[in-house]
Amino acid sequence: MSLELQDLSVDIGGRRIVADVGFTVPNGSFTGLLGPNGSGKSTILKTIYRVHRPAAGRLLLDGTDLLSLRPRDAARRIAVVSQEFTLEFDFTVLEMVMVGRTPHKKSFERDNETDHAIVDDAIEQVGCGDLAHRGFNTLSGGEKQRVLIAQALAQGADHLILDEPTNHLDIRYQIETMELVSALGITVLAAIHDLSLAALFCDTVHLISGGRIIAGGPPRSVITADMMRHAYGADVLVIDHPDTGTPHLIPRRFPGVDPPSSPGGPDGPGRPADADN
Amino acid sequence: MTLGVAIGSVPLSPAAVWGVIASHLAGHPHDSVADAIVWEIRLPRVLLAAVVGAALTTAGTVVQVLVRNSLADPFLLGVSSGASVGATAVLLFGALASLGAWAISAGSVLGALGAMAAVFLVSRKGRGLAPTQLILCGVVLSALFESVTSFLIFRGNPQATQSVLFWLLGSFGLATWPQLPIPFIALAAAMVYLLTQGRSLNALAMGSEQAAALGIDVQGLRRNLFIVTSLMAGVAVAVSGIIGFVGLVIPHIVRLMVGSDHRRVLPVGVLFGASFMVLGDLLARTIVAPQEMPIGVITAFIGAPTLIFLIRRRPYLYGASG
Repeated sequence: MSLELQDLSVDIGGRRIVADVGFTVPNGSFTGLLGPNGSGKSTILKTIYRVHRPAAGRLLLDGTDLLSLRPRDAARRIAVVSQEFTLEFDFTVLEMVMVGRTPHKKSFERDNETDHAIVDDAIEQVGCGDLAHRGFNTLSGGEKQRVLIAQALAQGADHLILDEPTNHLDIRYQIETMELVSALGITVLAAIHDLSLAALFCDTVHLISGGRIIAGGPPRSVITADMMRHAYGADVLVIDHPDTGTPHLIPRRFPGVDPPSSPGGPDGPGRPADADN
Repeated sequence: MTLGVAIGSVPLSPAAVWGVIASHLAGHPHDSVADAIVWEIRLPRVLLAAVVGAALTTAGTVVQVLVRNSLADPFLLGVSSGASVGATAVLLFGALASLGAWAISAGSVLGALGAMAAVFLVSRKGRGLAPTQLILCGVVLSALFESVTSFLIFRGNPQATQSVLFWLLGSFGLATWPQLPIPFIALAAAMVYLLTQGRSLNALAMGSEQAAALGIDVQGLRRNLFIVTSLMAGVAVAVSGIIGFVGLVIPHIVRLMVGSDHRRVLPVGVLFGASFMVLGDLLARTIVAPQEMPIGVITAFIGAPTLIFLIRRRPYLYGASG
């Protein structure tokens, strides 16, 4: 019982973007996809939700071929919160979340009490009860992200795909969003840029580089200084998070570059005493 | 809103108008001047204006979702400029002369269908119609067709060019009963299809990837919407010329009134678009009587300030497009 990728390859415009990627997302797990910009993370996710077609390989949902399902049947199992969401015409939060019911409804079927109850629950679950009648475009970035998660919840799927859910969010909303998602109790597959954040929340991570998986496993075994140099070409320190012991990345400057002088520091020029009053 | 139909027949009292209509529906028409004015001239004109207004509004609403751009209108996809080529060829060079009074309509429908097919084929890439490609191909091919129209006018007889100009600005002056059934059936069929797709349109407004994630067959839906809206716009152009602004502005006004849920926007848009066009046509033939103002001038003069007023009052609605 799981979402399984088998030797998946995807071509876009004649170029192979994803090559022989295979991994399993166990039920109830929080699985992270890591990798540099352009490594193929989003392409893998978009292939799962049918924006791209695989050139080779298979996608299995509980053992059945995902792409053989009707689109609306697949949408009842897998919901998506995608990257960079914009809305040309404003919908209220209630209307936005109601759109999540689309795969459950027939053409002429009206919204019934069950739908309204599900939508209200979803909005409560993400803590947006007081925003229900606001226009989506009037919300802050963190609030928008929570409404989009509510829409995915209203979809009633047991799998959630997130494409860089914490992009553009400040540190508070990054943590809130990740906590919210991991508390949902459904299977999550997320492409995540912030490796320290990924380590804090994911059970398993897969590191993609050049369209191939180069490492997979618990964050501790994947997020290492050597791996980061290999995948990203970046020099970082990896330390243990003081609370959780999960790997935490500390960026380093190029060797031989002097750091900017720190005002108030022991060797810095210091500030006038009255500036502190 | 449907009161617009009654008001549209002003110089006769509303009671007299309904009297004539009732007598015709009952099958015993009176033979009077009022009867002739109402039944032969005014009523078909008002009904045609209503159908065209509704069709343009509906097509505009759908095109804006189809290309995810609030500046889109039903003529974006090349329909109007293609129709101009056809109609100009008929007016200036007597093409399709064997069809008599239907020649202009037939010419513009053929032109519209040709333009639609051209835009469809050119903007097809891989498996579907991408919004940006659709816009660009529509704009580029429209410009090309407009040049063809200009070329035809340049080559044509100077007296006839005035009738081309008048046609280009749109009018309901030539409305007759036989003109009504085709646009009416087209509108009705399109509305039935679109009302079944209300949820899908909402999903598509979330973006094509999100729509795919919501279980929509995005490619198929886009293709159907393209065909339906082009046909609606093409038929509207064929019977009334190119009436600008209605398909752009009315959908926005309706969204500002009832929100963006297309299950409400589409039906309200039909009523509102029809009423707006009937009132516009009423103004067009009374404001400079006994002459007629081109209806396109009226729709632009009313539509533009109305939209600016509404946008300024609710700035957030279009925040994402800025």
